[in-house]
Amino acid sequence: MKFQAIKLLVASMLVLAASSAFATTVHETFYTAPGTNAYLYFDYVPANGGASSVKVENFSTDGILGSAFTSAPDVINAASGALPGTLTFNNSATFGITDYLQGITFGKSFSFDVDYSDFTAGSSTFSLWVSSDKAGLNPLLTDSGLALVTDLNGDNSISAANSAPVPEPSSVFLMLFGLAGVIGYRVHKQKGLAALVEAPALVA
Amino acid sequence: MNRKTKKSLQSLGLAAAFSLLGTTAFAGVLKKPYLIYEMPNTTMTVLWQDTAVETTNTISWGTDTSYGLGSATVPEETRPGTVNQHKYQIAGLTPNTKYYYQVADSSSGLVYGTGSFITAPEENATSVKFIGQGDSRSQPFALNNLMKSIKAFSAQSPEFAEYQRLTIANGDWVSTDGESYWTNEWFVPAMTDIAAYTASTPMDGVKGNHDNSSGYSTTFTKYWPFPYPNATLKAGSAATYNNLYWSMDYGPVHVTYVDEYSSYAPGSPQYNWLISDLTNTTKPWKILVYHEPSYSSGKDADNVAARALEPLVTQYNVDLIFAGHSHNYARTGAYSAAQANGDQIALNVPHFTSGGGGAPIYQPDYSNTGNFPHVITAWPAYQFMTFDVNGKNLTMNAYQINNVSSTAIRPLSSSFPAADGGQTLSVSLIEQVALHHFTNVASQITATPGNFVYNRATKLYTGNLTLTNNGPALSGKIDVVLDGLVNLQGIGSADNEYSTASPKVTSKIANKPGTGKGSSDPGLATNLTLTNATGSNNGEPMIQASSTGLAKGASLSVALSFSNPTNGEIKFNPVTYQE
Repeated sequence: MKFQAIKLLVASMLVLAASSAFATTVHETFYTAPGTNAYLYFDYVPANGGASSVKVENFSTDGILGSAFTSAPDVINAASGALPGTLTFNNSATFGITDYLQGITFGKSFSFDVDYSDFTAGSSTFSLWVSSDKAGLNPLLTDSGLALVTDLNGDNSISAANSAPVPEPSSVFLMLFGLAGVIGYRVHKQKGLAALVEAPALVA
Repeated sequence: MNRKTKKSLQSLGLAAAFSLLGTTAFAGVLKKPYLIYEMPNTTMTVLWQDTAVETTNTISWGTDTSYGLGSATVPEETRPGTVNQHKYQIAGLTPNTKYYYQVADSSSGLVYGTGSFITAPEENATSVKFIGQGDSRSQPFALNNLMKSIKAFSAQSPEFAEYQRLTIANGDWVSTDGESYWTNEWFVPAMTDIAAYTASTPMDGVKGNHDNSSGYSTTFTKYWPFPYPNATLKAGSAATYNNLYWSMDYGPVHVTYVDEYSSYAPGSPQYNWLISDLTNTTKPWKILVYHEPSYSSGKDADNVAARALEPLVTQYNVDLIFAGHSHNYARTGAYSAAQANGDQIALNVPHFTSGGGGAPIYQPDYSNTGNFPHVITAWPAYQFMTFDVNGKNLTMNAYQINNVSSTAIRPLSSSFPAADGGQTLSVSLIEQVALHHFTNVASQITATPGNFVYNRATKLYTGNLTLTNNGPALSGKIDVVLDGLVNLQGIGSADNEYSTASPKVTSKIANKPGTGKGSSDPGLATNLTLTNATGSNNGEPMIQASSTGLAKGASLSVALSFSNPTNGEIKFNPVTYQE
């Protein structure tokens, strides 16, 4: 019985760990020079990955959004949607790059959430390229032009460069909720409700 | 007899005398001296044919054109059916050394021909160069243009001259196994470039279907008496043979020639000999040569029976197959069981068709949906190949010869090997394929690609590959092959004058490269060029990850840069090798 309980605990922790790495929404904030005209290139490049998608949600800025570009030659395979609404970068049609170009006059900052909950294992990368020209030749914010690179590695881990991702409150809540469940289970078990532990699906 | 009549008779007599003199001068040699290499590496064999029973033919040789090293009187061959044919194996030579020779008739003082050769490499040599060609038949002008171009190609530098030390030929030397075809197609006096080439390049090879007559050959063996170990005389015949298979060592290379017109089915004497031959060779590089390819781009049908040899190719680590038959260049193969699609084909082994050696050009089938599966690259062209072995590396180049005519001898380009815009002979690269005998260490290396972003300024996709060594420390150079991609950097310019398609073909790459008929596998990807590749392996791009090894448990990151003009999928399988 004790052995079964330990396995259940480990299984629960693994589910939590996987959830925190896989079903994550990350909030990104970029601080900018007000009045600067710029272009934001959002790119989703799947490498060695399957069909998947990434969403940009809750875009917010005190600047002014300009024109959006959704067709060649400005973009390659346009994402669906338009800022400040949700953008969906879905590669299932081409397995190639999906992108979106947005003109903007900067305010003090802009921010958005990136929802990675629907990507598949692989080496897909979500990135934001910022430049002062539509051709993307004159970088802003960073020397390379890359303001954000989020590498979705083959082991499903997420690593971000040039950004300080903060888990959304909902993610933190889910993690705490799961942990509370485990603790609750331990307490419950100690009170003698052994029947739950016997559930075969939980220890398979 | 009046004065006028007397003068006429004098003129007639003078004409007759000149005629006789001319006959004597040109009748002495019918087939000028040419070379075959029979082994060992201290020998070279010279053959020629005169027009009568002569007992005063002599050959002399040396390390310069004074031919002071040795000489011999060479009587006619005694093999049945070799009338007026002479054959002499010069022995006692030093391996890997250039020699000059002269064949003459000591009684008339006529020189029948001169030439030179480089003896085969030392037994322990690790590097060598040579040439491959096939299907010369029926168009002597085209063959002459081809050999003229190869000769000039080899004359570019001392390094290139090494290529002309040997030609391996994959068959269909002439149209029919008959005396007149050799006289009218191969040994044509006016085709001086053929004679010049074969006087200075030993040609070793195998018969093709056009050199075959109901499973046997008569004149082929007369002119190309390679050291066949089990040639079998046809019952009731004095000079007609089958089982014309054989093999040779040449430096670090073992070349095995399969006679497809004698049984080679599993269990046959030739099949058993082949197993013994491949088992016993100690040479690191193994090449299998036969005429009709098991897989080609057409239009002559693939030899399905030859696919029975594919398991031996895998079992005995044959590096490549060199065939002809279809008059074009093609590289076929499969890299995975999915690409093999149930066909019997040795995986990861290039199957070359090099049949553009002079016969009329055939147009390739690029579809991979019909009778010609597993085509990777193909090109309709007069062509030849070069082989360059250097230690663990074998580099092969397929070259197109431009402006070959089948009705006239063309001059060389004034910018040879480049074209000069005129109707002149020039050479351009079709593709380069490299093979390596490196150690596959993928089982202990985790290779994870990542961080792929699109650079708006350079239009390149850049990312990296993280290698982690989960096994013992690795020393030396570490390379990664991006399996699943065509090495586009090895594909030459798409200038094709020999295409009869409308519009002319411009791509050398087949549809779904490597796949078979009805295969659901997408084949090798053709949208990505690894722009920072440091090499290639079997037609796939390769990049050096480390020059100093990788310690146990250590990781390193390799930058990758792709040109991806179609913005297609980035997908590959990284396979790590230790040099």
